[in-house]
Amino acid sequence: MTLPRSFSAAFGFSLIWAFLILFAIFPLVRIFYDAFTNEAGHLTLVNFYEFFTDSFYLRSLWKSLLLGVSVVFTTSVIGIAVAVLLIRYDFPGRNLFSYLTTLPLILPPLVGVLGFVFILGRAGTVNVILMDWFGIENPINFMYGMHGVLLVETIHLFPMMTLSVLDALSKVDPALEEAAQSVGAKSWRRFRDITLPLTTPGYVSGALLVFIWTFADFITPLVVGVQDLLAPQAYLNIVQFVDRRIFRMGIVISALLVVLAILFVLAARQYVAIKDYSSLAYTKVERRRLSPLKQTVAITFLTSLLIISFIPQVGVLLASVGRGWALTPIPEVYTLEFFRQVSVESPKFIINSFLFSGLAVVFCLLIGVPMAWILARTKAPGRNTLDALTTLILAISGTAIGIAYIRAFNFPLPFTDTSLTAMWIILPLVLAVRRLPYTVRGSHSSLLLVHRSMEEAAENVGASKLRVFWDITVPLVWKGILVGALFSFLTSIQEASATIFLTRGGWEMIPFGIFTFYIAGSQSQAAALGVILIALCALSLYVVNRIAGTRVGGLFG
Amino acid sequence: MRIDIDNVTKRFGILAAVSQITLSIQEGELFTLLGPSGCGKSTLLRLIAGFYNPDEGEIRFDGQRINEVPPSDRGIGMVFQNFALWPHMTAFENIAYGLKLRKVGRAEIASRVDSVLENVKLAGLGDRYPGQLSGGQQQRIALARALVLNPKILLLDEPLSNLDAKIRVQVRQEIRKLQKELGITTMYVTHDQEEALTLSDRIAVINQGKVFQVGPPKTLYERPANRFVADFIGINNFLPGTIVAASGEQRRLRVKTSIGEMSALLEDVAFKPGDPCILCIRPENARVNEATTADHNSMTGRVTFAAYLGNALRYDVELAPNLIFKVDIRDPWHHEVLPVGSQVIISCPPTSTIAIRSET
Repeated sequence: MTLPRSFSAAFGFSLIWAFLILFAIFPLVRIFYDAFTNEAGHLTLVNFYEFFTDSFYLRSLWKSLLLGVSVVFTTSVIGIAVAVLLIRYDFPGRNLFSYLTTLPLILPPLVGVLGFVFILGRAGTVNVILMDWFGIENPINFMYGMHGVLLVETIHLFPMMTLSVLDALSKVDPALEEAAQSVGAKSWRRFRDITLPLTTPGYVSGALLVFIWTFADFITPLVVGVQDLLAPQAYLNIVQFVDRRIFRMGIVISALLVVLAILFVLAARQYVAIKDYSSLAYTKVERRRLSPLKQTVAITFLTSLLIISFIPQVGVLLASVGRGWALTPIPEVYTLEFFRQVSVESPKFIINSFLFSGLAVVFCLLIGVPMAWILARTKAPGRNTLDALTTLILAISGTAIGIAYIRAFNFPLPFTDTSLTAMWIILPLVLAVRRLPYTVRGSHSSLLLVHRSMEEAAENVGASKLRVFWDITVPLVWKGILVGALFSFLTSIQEASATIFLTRGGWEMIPFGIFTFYIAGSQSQAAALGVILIALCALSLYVVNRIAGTRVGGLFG
Repeated sequence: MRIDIDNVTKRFGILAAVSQITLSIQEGELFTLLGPSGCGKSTLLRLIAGFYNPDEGEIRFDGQRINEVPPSDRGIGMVFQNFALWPHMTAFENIAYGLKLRKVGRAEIASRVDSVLENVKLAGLGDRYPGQLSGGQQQRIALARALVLNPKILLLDEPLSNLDAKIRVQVRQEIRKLQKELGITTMYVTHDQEEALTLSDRIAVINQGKVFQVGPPKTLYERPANRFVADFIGINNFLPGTIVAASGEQRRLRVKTSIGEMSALLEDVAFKPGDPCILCIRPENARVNEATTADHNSMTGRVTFAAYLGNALRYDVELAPNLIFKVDIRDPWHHEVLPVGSQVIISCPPTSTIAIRSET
């Protein structure tokens, strides 16, 4: 098969490209156009000149880079340690600790940072206990400042690193380590010289995702009061819209985020392409036991990590059911009033979340499954570009896409006088574009599992192409596709970057509600919505696991 | 170096992968563990390498117990089934790694690696990565990596199973030559009986975690001690019977079978009249429709199938219902193929009719 054969295939092919060009490429091009032009539309570098000569922006850029590198470092140390312990060693509670890797899926980042503030903030549980019971005069500042951002991002992102490394580690043939043993390499040396280098492709992709996420996250810094980072600046400049110059700075920052993502993806692809070791045959790893001392250290480490990872959940839950919670370790009066307010009284958050995320999943399936099929089963021209585009979308932050959409679709559509940014459909669209890579990758790997010869065998006994598709291919891949779709849904209802830029009155989804309630000082309502969001995520994940039959993890990379 | 395996057992869960095995491997010997997959032969090799620890029993190198010695300190060279070359290092770096760990100087590393590359006939390919080498070349790099450390013991775990048939034969001979030149005690694991027969000084046939027979290739092939060995190595025809008479002088047994009385070689002096036994006759030792002397065993039957193998023609002959006897014509160029259904007379000398104990 060299080209899509029939007219309808060509038509479908064009539709996919039209969607991608319109909703992925065009906004990105537009943001660059804006960044490189002035008010009058003339090409200019003056925006960048202003950015790079402004000491405030330079400091923000520097601090953002520093933060990104720091989070990559902390998540690497924790993430690799957890991954190695989980895959190479056997100790009591190993199965329980393996849930560490699924935590971020059921803890939306926005809710995570709120939860931390409730427990570790100035008037949070820990400080109240310290002051009441241990007589400490002033609250300790755990949260407000760069160290707070570092803490929240580390706890939120280390599982992403763990999953990437776990995936890579499980593909390293144990015989390679045994061979090192047989020529005399002892444990630490063996790990450094053999195991670690072999896991670098997985590690690099994990590190890139962590870096890009940290670099582009504006919510965490804003909640803990840090504004002099690039992403919060982009948000403030765009949303506050003080003057046109500032607005343009937001666009410049957004363009920088995109450039960064492209650079990193190119670097990663280069690196991973050269060093793909995973094609080796692999056998089962025998987990080793730890010495009693090491085992105690390992279990203490993992238990602390598990407890810290649960701080946000506890904090949000307490805040959502406590009335007038202040200056006590835990609330004294309990109520469900806030849940009533955010669900029965104004159901729009939940309804919008389901509606927009559901629609986004439909778009993902309509575009993503055929894309996966093109990648897996045809040699249609542009396949590599499709593949690269998918990776690029995965790497570009929601912040950048949100800003890009504001600029790109802010013109009246043909034959109407409203712009796309004034229609609610823009939210499902942006969600669909953001989640498209999950659907494509999920479906693609399911399709690869269906060996071509299985389909050929069916054709051989007389089934038509269409019958083959329905009788052989679909029964074998529907699970993978459904799991991918649910995963897209799960991450769509958590989305709190691109959508926050685009939401207008009446379109509020749950994360937008949490963010605006919190910023407006209504912490209890924010917490109640947070609990609802966690519950929805947990439920979706449960369904995904039931269908998939295993725990789902590595879809990040 | 001499290896003693003394009553060693290794269990995985309740399954004993290796069950009370006792073996002695002599200095400089090429000793093969042969058996079907899952028989425990690889487990035994990994016990010697130190990747597993025995649950019971003792392993000694030159009389020294090494049960507790970690693999990295055993001074063993090992070649893995899938070669296990480190993909992020060049061939040179793969070979040099063990020397580097031993803090050998740069110049010496270079000369030792070059000379071992010479030995495995891969001089000049040191800067290639494993992915840029063919299967046979990778195999030799893996061998070079093990040999460069001058190990006292070389362990080879199915080292040829990932190679093409032609290359396999070639590398097999090279391994044998190199091993004899270096005089290194070698344990070789394989499921391929042809490989085992051509390479080994001695072979241990293993099944279900137990040793069934130990001996040189010729003994195992011509004097199998039990039905498993007789069946696993080569092809055999089995005829169950009962001992009628045993004559120590003439080294002859008379055996009554369902198709008449036969003469067999008396190997096991413990056979007494009345004992049950199984007669084994290899297809290549039997003749079809040939005049023979009176002491030859002879059987009649009907051809049910003829398989042309190139270097032989193999007939399936039905001696009695459900009793098929395989017999080879060893020069099919000069043989007119008999049609299916032909009545034939099969004969074979008592010297190649072996009686073994029937397992209870």
